Amino acid sequence: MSSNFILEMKGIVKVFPLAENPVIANDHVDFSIKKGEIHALVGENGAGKTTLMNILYGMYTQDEGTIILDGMNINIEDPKKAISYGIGMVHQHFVLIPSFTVAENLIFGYEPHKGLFVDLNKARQLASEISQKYGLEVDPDKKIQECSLSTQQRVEILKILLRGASILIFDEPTAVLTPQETKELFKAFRELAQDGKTIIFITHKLREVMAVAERVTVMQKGQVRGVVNVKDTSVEELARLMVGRDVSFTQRRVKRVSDSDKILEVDNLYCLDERGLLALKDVSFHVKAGEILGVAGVGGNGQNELVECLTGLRETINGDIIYKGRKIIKFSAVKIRNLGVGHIPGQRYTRGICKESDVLKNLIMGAHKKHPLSKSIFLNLKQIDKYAENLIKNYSIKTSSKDAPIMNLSGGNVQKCVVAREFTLARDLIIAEEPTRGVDIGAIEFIHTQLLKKSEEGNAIIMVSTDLDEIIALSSRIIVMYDGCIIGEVSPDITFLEEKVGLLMAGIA
Amino acid sequence: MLEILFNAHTVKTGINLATPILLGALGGVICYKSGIFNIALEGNMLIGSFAAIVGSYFFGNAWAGVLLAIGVTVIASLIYGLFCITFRANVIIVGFGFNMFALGITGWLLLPVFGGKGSFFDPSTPTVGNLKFSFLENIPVINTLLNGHNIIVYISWLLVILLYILLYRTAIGYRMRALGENPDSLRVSGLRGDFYAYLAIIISGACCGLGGAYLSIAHLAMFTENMTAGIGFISVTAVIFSKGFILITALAGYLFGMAHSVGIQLQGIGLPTQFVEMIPYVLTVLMLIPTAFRIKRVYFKKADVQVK
Amino acid sequence: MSKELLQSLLRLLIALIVALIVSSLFIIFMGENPLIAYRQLFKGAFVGKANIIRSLRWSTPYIITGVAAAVAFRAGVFNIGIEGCVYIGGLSAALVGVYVTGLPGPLHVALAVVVAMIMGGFWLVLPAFLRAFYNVNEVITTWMFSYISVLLCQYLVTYHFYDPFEISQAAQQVRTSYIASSARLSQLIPPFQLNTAIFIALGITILFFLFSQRTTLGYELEMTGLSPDFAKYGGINIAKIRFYAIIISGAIGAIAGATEIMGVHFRYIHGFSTAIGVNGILVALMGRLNPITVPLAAIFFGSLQNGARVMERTSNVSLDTINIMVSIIVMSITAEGLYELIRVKRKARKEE
Repeated sequence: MSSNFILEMKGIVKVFPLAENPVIANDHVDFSIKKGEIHALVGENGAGKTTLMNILYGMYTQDEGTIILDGMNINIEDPKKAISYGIGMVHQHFVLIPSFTVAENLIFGYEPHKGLFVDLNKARQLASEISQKYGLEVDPDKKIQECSLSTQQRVEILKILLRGASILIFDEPTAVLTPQETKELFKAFRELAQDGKTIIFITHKLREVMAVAERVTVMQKGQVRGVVNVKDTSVEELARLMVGRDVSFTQRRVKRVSDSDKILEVDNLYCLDERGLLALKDVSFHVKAGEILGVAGVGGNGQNELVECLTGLRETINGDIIYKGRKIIKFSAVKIRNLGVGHIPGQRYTRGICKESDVLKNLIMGAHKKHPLSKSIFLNLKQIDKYAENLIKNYSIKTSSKDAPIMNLSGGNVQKCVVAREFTLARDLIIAEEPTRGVDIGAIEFIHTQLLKKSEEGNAIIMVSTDLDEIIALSSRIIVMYDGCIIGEVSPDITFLEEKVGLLMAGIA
Repeated sequence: MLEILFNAHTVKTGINLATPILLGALGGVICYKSGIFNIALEGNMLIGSFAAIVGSYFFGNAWAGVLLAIGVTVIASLIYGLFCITFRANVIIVGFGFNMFALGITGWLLLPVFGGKGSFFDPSTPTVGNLKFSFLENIPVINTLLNGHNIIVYISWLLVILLYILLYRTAIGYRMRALGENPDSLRVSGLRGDFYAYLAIIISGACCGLGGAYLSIAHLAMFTENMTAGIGFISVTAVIFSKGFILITALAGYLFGMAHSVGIQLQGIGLPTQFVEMIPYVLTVLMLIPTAFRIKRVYFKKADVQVK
Repeated sequence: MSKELLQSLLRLLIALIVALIVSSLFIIFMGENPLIAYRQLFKGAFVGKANIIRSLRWSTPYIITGVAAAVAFRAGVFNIGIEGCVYIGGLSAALVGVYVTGLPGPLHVALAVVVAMIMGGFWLVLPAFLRAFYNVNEVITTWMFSYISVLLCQYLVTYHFYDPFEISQAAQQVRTSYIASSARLSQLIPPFQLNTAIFIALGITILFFLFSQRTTLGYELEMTGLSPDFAKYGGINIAKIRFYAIIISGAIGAIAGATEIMGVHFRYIHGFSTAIGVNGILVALMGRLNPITVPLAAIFFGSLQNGARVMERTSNVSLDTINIMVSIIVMSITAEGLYELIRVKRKARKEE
């Protein structure tokens, strides 16, 4: 047994048993960290890194495998147990209470008492003490809602330090920070490590790994692909480990498109997210008829916001969107839809379908106002039945009947309903978000075939996906989003394609 | 004209009318801060007012009535809470059903319990009574404002302070507010959100019980069918209007009371009764209009959860 | 019979049984035998020509208000101010009946109904607008408007449209003059109060069915209620839908008031509506907002009420028991979580 490993996870297996498509999130994963080290955990979406850390943090329990802390075998049943073992997590989305002050947030759940009442002075005192001890400055009396995101993050860190955390897990900590704040965070990492704390941080940004980590564990598709010392490796090797495929079993099926019209042009697009920060920064690209433009990138780099801007569901603050020569940037969602823009949404169950309704009613949305499904205000029931049956047949939707509740269908068939509907309605442009996420193999094949067919018919398709295999298999061109910008464009014909895309996804141009 | 409108009588009536609204609203605000939209205040208060007069009449003691009102209303409130918190039913439909249930059952019980129909009045029933502070009697304005009110009025003032302290100075209050703002924070700290939700329901039940008791046995011991006549909904409005700030909730309650009282005075100079009675309801709608222009600040991004 | 329909009926049955059991407790408390009481209830509702006719008469307004509530609820907006619209509709019809002269029968009736509808819909413009475009809680606004409308009607009749020949000044006797005979709905089976309003109710039911199942607006309304995100993303203007849903709901509710005045009372009289609007909401919820089951629920409810009157006369059990029963049913039906709990427990037991 290696004595300087403070924590070892051995043979971790975690399977999420979805009905049609069991997902092996962690496939016999071994993960170890040394005391006082800064360790990066890297991988693309779906690699299994978040699941692994959630197991460590007590959110899930592993199906197989052991966790050894300081030489002792432990079971982590829930987050409270985890913190008692000294394992704390700083989440990507902070778990703070906006109207409470910093001090109040720090003591929440473990409030110091003076009689019946909460001892706020003691709280303030604790806040100052811990803040000074670790050099993470905070104002104990400021309300969290008035603090910057980096301050909020600092409070999250102090919170787990206050609970006695010696192993600190960070999930994409720099997502909300400016470059300056990132530098400060890394300085804090180093100081904490010097103090004997162990830092694990999940990231997809390889530059950060090279900047601050000592060792890196790279995961892909639920398995560990490599554990390397940072000083012995390079971003290229990491990218290769992160996205390199052993066997390229994804068939490339794309035709070249050279001379056709630009269906969609986006120029210098800017927009904000819910927090008021820039989600898109100077985004410009175009799509031609017959092309499949793959928009790759780790989730959370502006893809959602981009799609919302294109479909009229989000306000932009600068730039232009031109669809078939028309400026549509100020158009409402209704108007854009009526122009024939098809959209397969990422939020399948809230936007893509009506969960409480049946297959038929889900299939006709959007087409219901047009001939032949309706005439003036009346629905033509016979035509509607025919339309639905056609879609069910043509898209091989497995359902007991067209009146069956849509939630009776498997995930893949639900998605096929969405695809069927949108592909039939769309004229010239289709925006597909995560088209095959959570879908079984057969349906994936089918949907990919349909996408290709649509592109061959002359439609322009924008495919936003965190599934690199899908991007590589179908795209005529690939652009990669990172930090709200298009960090680079790649032609799928180049050699070392995965590595190149992997580097872009990780922020290295 | 001003003397007619703003004399001691108007103030006293205003406080009288405001108190049940305030008590209901206090219950509502505790739930609001804990993340529960309690639209059953109306039903709760009605049940409370019935229980109060039952207790007072049959035990010959007004305070027995008050205690019974609080006890029964807490139980009723827990039923509403059960449907909303544990069964996760649609809050509005359950609330409506609950209010209808309260209306039905209080009207129905008049016959078996009191042998009457539509209302019950027996002058021998004890009432809660007023408090007089002799040392205030000679101070001009203060005397009107602070002296000679019903005991429950004084309790309601005390409650405002107590609930404020509960919410902002005790650990329980912190956790309830956290539940309302970010339920995840409790989960991560290993605390059970449901516990604090039910606690909020119990407190609101007690407040509504007290409010209902005020309606039926504070001054004149009488119960009529549908005694609350929308007061519970006015309380809800006070809560929404105040955005959960207890002190503003209290002020809103008093605003309603005073407006109604002034309206009653206007009746004396010719305003038809119907318009006077309309005042609280119209005011409620008016006070909801500003809530339309509120920007909801999103602090933390919500995940798109696909719950099958 | 599809599995889902079976499940719905099963839930209704469970809710009914729960309500019956709880109500039995009340009846026992009264010192009566619940089985005898329920027998009286059933007989009074469904047995005998007189009882059936009266049951139908009482069901008629509930069919109309049930549909009114269902239309709004289907769109996801909870218009609980239907009672107010009933009063507005009743007064409007009464005024048309009293002050408009020279029209032949059917035209007079039609005019009264149309005016009632317009006034009923118009009455809810403010709550509808606030909800649709500014998300202001419609539960409170419509409920308040209910109270306001009753008071407003009372004021209008007391001070302006009173019956000049009525000598009694008692506060409760607020009424207009009798409406012209041309404005009255024909009595179908005198001396019973069943009148042609039942055909109007039938007509409204058919229109509701056609609207929900056969029109584009009906489809859009349903989608807006079931899943606003999906509807918005699908290109539906959900604000407009919500606005019209409340307005239409108010208009239909007003018809119920109009038919009560024109078919039963022949004058506006204060307190003519014995919670017709409020019970319509319960009926709509019991009928799960469905165009076929809401009228059935209305008939069920109206018959129960009639039966309860009989039960009240022959035993000591009061009419309010029915309201209690129905509200329990409503609360139970909507306790989705309870059913999930039962289902999950059953699944767990199966896997053991």
